[in-house]
Amino acid sequence: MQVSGEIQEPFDLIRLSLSERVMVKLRGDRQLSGVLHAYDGHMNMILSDVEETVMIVDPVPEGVKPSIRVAKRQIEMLYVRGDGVILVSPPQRE
Amino acid sequence: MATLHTLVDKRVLLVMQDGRVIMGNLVGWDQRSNIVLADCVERRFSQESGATDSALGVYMVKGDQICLVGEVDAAIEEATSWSEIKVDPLPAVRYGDA
Amino acid sequence: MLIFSVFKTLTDHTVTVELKNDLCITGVLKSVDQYLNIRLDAIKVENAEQHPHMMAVKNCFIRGSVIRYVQLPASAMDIQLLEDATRRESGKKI
Repeated sequence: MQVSGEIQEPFDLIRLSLSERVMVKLRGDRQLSGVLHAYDGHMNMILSDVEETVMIVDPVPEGVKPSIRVAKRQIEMLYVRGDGVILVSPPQRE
Repeated sequence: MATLHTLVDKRVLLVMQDGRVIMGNLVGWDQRSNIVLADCVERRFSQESGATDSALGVYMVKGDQICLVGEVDAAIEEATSWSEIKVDPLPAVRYGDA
Repeated sequence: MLIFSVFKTLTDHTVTVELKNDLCITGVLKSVDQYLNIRLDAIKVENAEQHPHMMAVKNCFIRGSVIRYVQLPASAMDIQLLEDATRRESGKKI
Protein backbone atom coordinates (compact mmCIF):
# COMPACT_ATOMS: atom_id res chain seq x y z
CA MET A 1 0.00 0.00 0.00
CA GLN A 2 1.34 3.42 -0.99
CA VAL A 3 0.60 5.42 2.13
CA SER A 4 2.21 8.78 1.40
CA GLY A 5 -0.07 9.46 -1.60
CA GLU A 6 -3.17 9.27 0.57
CA ILE A 7 -1.95 11.79 3.13
CA GLN A 8 -2.59 15.43 2.32
CA GLU A 9 -3.08 16.78 5.81
CA PRO A 10 -2.23 15.63 9.35
CA PHE A 11 -5.69 14.26 10.13
CA ASP A 12 -5.47 11.90 7.12
CA LEU A 13 -2.73 10.06 8.99
CA ILE A 14 -5.07 9.53 11.93
CA ARG A 15 -7.95 8.46 9.65
CA LEU A 16 -5.73 5.75 8.17
CA SER A 17 -5.01 4.51 11.69
CA LEU A 18 -8.68 3.73 12.44
CA SER A 19 -9.12 0.21 13.87
CA GLU A 20 -5.35 -0.04 14.30
CA ARG A 21 -3.21 0.16 17.42
CA VAL A 22 -1.81 3.65 17.97
CA MET A 23 0.48 5.28 20.52
CA VAL A 24 -0.81 8.51 22.08
CA LYS A 25 1.43 10.81 24.12
CA LEU A 26 -0.43 12.97 26.65
CA ARG A 27 0.28 15.88 28.95
CA GLY A 28 1.30 14.99 32.50
CA ASP A 29 3.87 12.31 31.50
CA ARG A 30 1.22 9.86 30.29
CA GLN A 31 1.24 7.59 27.30
CA LEU A 32 -1.45 5.30 25.88
CA SER A 33 -1.38 2.35 23.53
CA GLY A 34 -4.79 1.31 22.20
CA VAL A 35 -6.91 0.49 19.17
CA LEU A 36 -8.39 3.66 17.66
CA HIS A 37 -12.13 3.54 16.96
CA ALA A 38 -13.20 7.19 16.83
CA TYR A 39 -11.80 10.72 16.87
CA ASP A 40 -12.88 14.27 16.04
CA GLY A 41 -11.29 17.59 15.14
CA HIS A 42 -10.36 18.31 18.78
CA MET A 43 -8.43 15.02 18.85
CA ASN A 44 -10.96 13.63 21.29
CA MET A 45 -10.57 9.88 20.83
CA ILE A 46 -12.13 6.55 21.72
CA LEU A 47 -9.67 3.69 22.13
CA SER A 48 -10.12 0.07 23.18
CA ASP A 49 -7.79 -2.47 24.78
CA VAL A 50 -5.78 0.40 26.25
CA GLU A 51 -2.57 0.27 28.24
CA GLU A 52 -1.80 3.51 30.07
CA THR A 53 1.76 4.24 31.19
CA VAL A 54 2.35 7.04 33.71
CA MET A 55 5.86 8.24 34.57
CA ILE A 56 6.09 9.28 38.21
CA VAL A 57 9.13 11.09 39.59
CA ASP A 58 9.27 10.47 43.33
CA PRO A 59 10.51 13.40 45.41
CA VAL A 60 14.03 12.79 46.74
CA PRO A 61 16.35 14.83 48.98
CA GLU A 62 18.54 17.35 47.20
CA GLY A 63 21.71 15.94 45.64
CA VAL A 64 20.20 12.48 45.21
CA LYS A 65 19.50 11.33 41.66
CA PRO A 66 15.70 11.25 41.22
CA SER A 67 14.26 7.84 40.39
CA ILE A 68 11.47 7.47 37.85
CA ARG A 69 8.68 5.03 38.62
CA VAL A 70 6.45 3.68 35.86
CA ALA A 71 2.80 2.80 36.62
CA LYS A 72 0.84 0.76 34.08
CA ARG A 73 -2.84 -0.16 33.92
CA GLN A 74 -5.27 -1.71 31.43
CA ILE A 75 -8.62 -0.19 30.39
CA GLU A 76 -11.12 -1.95 28.13
CA MET A 77 -12.69 1.11 26.46
CA LEU A 78 -11.61 4.70 26.97
CA TYR A 79 -12.65 8.19 25.85
CA VAL A 80 -9.64 10.55 25.87
CA ARG A 81 -10.23 14.31 25.89
CA GLY A 82 -8.31 15.95 23.05
CA ASP A 83 -6.88 18.88 25.04
CA GLY A 84 -4.39 16.53 26.72
CA VAL A 85 -3.06 15.03 23.49
CA ILE A 86 0.51 15.90 22.43
CA LEU A 87 1.01 13.43 19.59
CA VAL A 88 -0.55 10.41 17.92
CA SER A 89 1.75 7.87 16.33
CA PRO A 90 0.29 5.44 13.77
CA PRO A 91 1.05 1.71 13.80
CA GLN A 92 4.47 0.64 12.56
CA ARG A 93 4.31 -0.45 8.91
CA GLU A 94 6.63 -2.73 6.98
CA MET B 1 -26.75 23.42 29.06
CA ALA B 2 -29.29 20.68 29.43
CA THR B 3 -27.97 19.66 32.78
CA LEU B 4 -27.95 22.27 35.56
CA HIS B 5 -31.63 23.29 35.68
CA THR B 6 -32.59 20.37 37.95
CA LEU B 7 -30.30 21.83 40.64
CA VAL B 8 -31.93 25.28 40.87
CA ASP B 9 -33.07 26.09 44.46
CA LYS B 10 -31.15 23.09 45.75
CA ARG B 11 -28.18 23.06 48.13
CA VAL B 12 -25.13 22.37 45.96
CA LEU B 13 -21.43 21.73 46.48
CA LEU B 14 -18.93 23.23 44.06
CA VAL B 15 -15.46 21.81 43.61
CA MET B 16 -13.27 24.54 42.13
CA GLN B 17 -10.29 24.12 39.80
CA ASP B 18 -7.93 25.15 42.63
CA GLY B 19 -9.37 22.44 44.90
CA ARG B 20 -11.57 24.66 47.08
CA VAL B 21 -15.02 23.44 48.13
CA ILE B 22 -17.89 25.97 48.20
CA MET B 23 -21.48 25.16 49.19
CA GLY B 24 -24.60 27.24 48.69
CA ASN B 25 -28.15 27.40 47.39
CA LEU B 26 -28.16 27.52 43.59
CA VAL B 27 -30.02 30.69 42.59
CA GLY B 28 -29.16 30.75 38.91
CA TRP B 29 -26.71 29.87 36.15
CA ASP B 30 -26.06 30.74 32.52
CA GLN B 31 -24.77 29.28 29.25
CA ARG B 32 -21.14 29.51 30.40
CA SER B 33 -22.00 27.73 33.68
CA ASN B 34 -21.42 30.92 35.69
CA ILE B 35 -23.29 30.26 38.92
CA VAL B 36 -24.95 32.44 41.58
CA LEU B 37 -25.10 30.94 45.08
CA ALA B 38 -26.96 32.21 48.16
CA ASP B 39 -26.07 31.34 51.79
CA CYS B 40 -22.61 30.38 50.69
CA VAL B 41 -19.95 28.74 52.84
CA GLU B 42 -16.43 27.67 52.02
CA ARG B 43 -15.50 24.33 53.58
CA ARG B 44 -11.79 24.15 54.27
CA PHE B 45 -10.31 20.70 54.77
CA SER B 46 -7.23 20.15 56.89
CA GLN B 47 -5.26 17.15 58.07
CA GLU B 48 -4.67 18.82 61.48
CA SER B 49 -7.88 20.57 62.54
CA GLY B 50 -10.63 18.88 60.52
CA ALA B 51 -13.05 20.61 58.15
CA THR B 52 -14.19 24.14 59.03
CA ASP B 53 -16.89 26.26 57.38
CA SER B 54 -16.71 30.00 56.86
CA ALA B 55 -19.73 32.00 55.70
CA LEU B 56 -19.41 34.00 52.48
CA GLY B 57 -22.95 35.29 51.77
CA VAL B 58 -24.02 35.61 48.12
CA TYR B 59 -21.42 34.59 45.51
CA MET B 60 -21.16 34.70 41.77
CA VAL B 61 -18.74 31.99 40.67
CA LYS B 62 -17.21 32.08 37.20
CA GLY B 63 -17.98 28.98 35.17
CA ASP B 64 -14.45 28.41 33.91
CA GLN B 65 -13.18 28.07 37.49
CA ILE B 66 -15.67 25.33 38.34
CA CYS B 67 -14.70 21.70 38.21
CA LEU B 68 -17.86 20.00 39.44
CA VAL B 69 -21.33 20.82 40.83
CA GLY B 70 -22.94 18.25 43.13
CA GLU B 71 -26.37 18.10 44.75
CA VAL B 72 -26.02 17.92 48.54
CA ASP B 73 -28.02 15.20 50.30
CA ALA B 74 -29.32 17.06 53.38
CA ALA B 75 -29.62 13.91 55.53
CA ILE B 76 -25.98 12.88 55.03
CA GLU B 77 -24.78 16.47 55.31
CA GLU B 78 -26.47 16.92 58.70
CA ALA B 79 -25.50 13.51 60.05
CA THR B 80 -21.80 14.14 59.39
CA SER B 81 -19.49 15.72 61.99
CA TRP B 82 -17.32 17.56 59.51
CA SER B 83 -14.99 18.92 62.18
CA GLU B 84 -13.87 15.35 62.87
CA ILE B 85 -13.03 14.66 59.24
CA LYS B 86 -9.30 15.19 58.95
CA VAL B 87 -8.07 15.06 55.37
CA ASP B 88 -6.02 17.20 53.03
CA PRO B 89 -7.85 19.57 50.67
CA LEU B 90 -8.66 18.26 47.19
CA PRO B 91 -5.82 18.70 44.71
CA ALA B 92 -6.02 21.48 42.11
CA VAL B 93 -6.74 20.67 38.49
CA ARG B 94 -3.46 20.39 36.58
CA TYR B 95 -3.28 20.50 32.83
CA GLY B 96 0.20 18.94 32.80
CA ASP B 97 3.52 20.60 32.00
CA ALA B 98 4.57 18.72 28.90
CA MET C 1 -20.67 16.18 17.34
CA LEU C 2 -19.59 12.55 16.89
CA ILE C 3 -18.34 12.07 20.43
CA PHE C 4 -21.43 13.91 21.77
CA SER C 5 -23.62 11.36 19.93
CA VAL C 6 -21.61 8.46 21.35
CA PHE C 7 -22.13 9.73 24.91
CA LYS C 8 -25.85 10.18 24.22
CA THR C 9 -26.17 6.51 23.24
CA LEU C 10 -24.52 5.58 26.54
CA THR C 11 -27.17 7.32 28.69
CA ASP C 12 -28.18 5.17 31.69
CA HIS C 13 -24.95 3.16 31.51
CA THR C 14 -22.35 3.18 34.28
CA VAL C 15 -19.14 5.04 33.41
CA THR C 16 -16.03 6.13 35.33
CA VAL C 17 -14.93 9.73 34.82
CA GLU C 18 -11.31 10.58 35.60
CA LEU C 19 -10.69 14.29 36.23
CA LYS C 20 -7.57 16.36 35.77
CA ASN C 21 -7.31 16.67 39.58
CA ASP C 22 -6.89 12.85 39.65
CA LEU C 23 -10.36 12.30 41.17
CA CYS C 24 -12.14 9.21 39.77
CA ILE C 25 -15.95 9.24 39.91
CA THR C 26 -18.11 6.27 38.92
CA GLY C 27 -21.80 6.81 38.27
CA VAL C 28 -24.75 6.38 35.94
CA LEU C 29 -24.54 8.69 32.92
CA LYS C 30 -27.70 10.80 32.97
CA SER C 31 -27.01 13.46 30.37
CA VAL C 32 -24.38 15.15 28.26
CA ASP C 33 -24.34 18.44 26.33
CA GLN C 34 -22.45 19.92 23.37
CA TYR C 35 -19.49 20.94 25.60
CA LEU C 36 -19.29 17.31 26.80
CA ASN C 37 -20.30 18.43 30.29
CA ILE C 38 -21.56 15.28 32.00
CA ARG C 39 -24.30 14.61 34.54
CA LEU C 40 -23.82 11.52 36.75
CA ASP C 41 -26.24 9.87 39.18
CA ALA C 42 -25.55 7.50 42.09
CA ILE C 43 -21.90 8.54 42.20
CA LYS C 44 -19.04 6.84 44.02
CA VAL C 45 -15.65 8.47 44.45
CA GLU C 46 -12.68 6.13 44.13
CA ASN C 47 -10.69 5.83 47.39
CA ALA C 48 -13.66 7.24 49.31
CA GLU C 49 -11.72 7.17 52.62
CA GLN C 50 -9.15 9.64 51.28
CA HIS C 51 -11.81 11.73 49.53
CA PRO C 52 -14.70 12.31 51.96
CA HIS C 53 -15.13 15.85 50.60
CA MET C 54 -18.05 14.80 48.40
CA MET C 55 -19.55 12.27 50.80
CA ALA C 56 -22.94 14.08 50.87
CA VAL C 57 -23.13 14.32 47.07
CA LYS C 58 -25.23 11.69 45.29
CA ASN C 59 -25.41 13.20 41.81
CA CYS C 60 -23.28 15.75 40.05
CA PHE C 61 -22.57 17.85 36.98
CA ILE C 62 -18.97 17.67 35.73
CA ARG C 63 -17.49 20.35 33.49
CA GLY C 64 -16.24 18.83 30.24
CA SER C 65 -12.98 20.77 30.31
CA VAL C 66 -11.75 19.14 33.56
CA ILE C 67 -12.23 15.59 32.27
CA ARG C 68 -9.11 13.62 31.36
CA TYR C 69 -10.65 10.23 30.54
CA VAL C 70 -14.01 8.46 30.65
CA GLN C 71 -13.95 4.67 31.00
CA LEU C 72 -16.81 3.39 28.83
CA PRO C 73 -18.84 0.15 28.89
CA ALA C 74 -17.34 -1.76 25.93
CA SER C 75 -20.29 -4.17 25.73
CA ALA C 76 -22.71 -1.31 25.04
CA MET C 77 -20.76 -0.01 22.05
CA ASP C 78 -20.85 -0.89 18.35
CA ILE C 79 -17.26 -0.58 17.10
CA GLN C 80 -18.17 -0.91 13.40
CA LEU C 81 -20.78 1.85 13.68
CA LEU C 82 -18.28 4.04 15.53
CA GLU C 83 -15.57 3.69 12.87
CA ASP C 84 -17.99 4.21 9.98
CA ALA C 85 -19.34 7.38 11.61
CA THR C 86 -15.77 8.63 12.18
CA ARG C 87 -14.84 8.03 8.51
CA ARG C 88 -17.99 9.82 7.37
CA GLU C 89 -17.40 12.76 9.70
CA SER C 90 -13.70 13.10 8.79
CA GLY C 91 -14.65 13.26 5.09
CA LYS C 92 -16.25 16.63 5.81
CA LYS C 93 -13.98 19.57 6.50
CA ILE C 94 -13.71 20.07 10.23
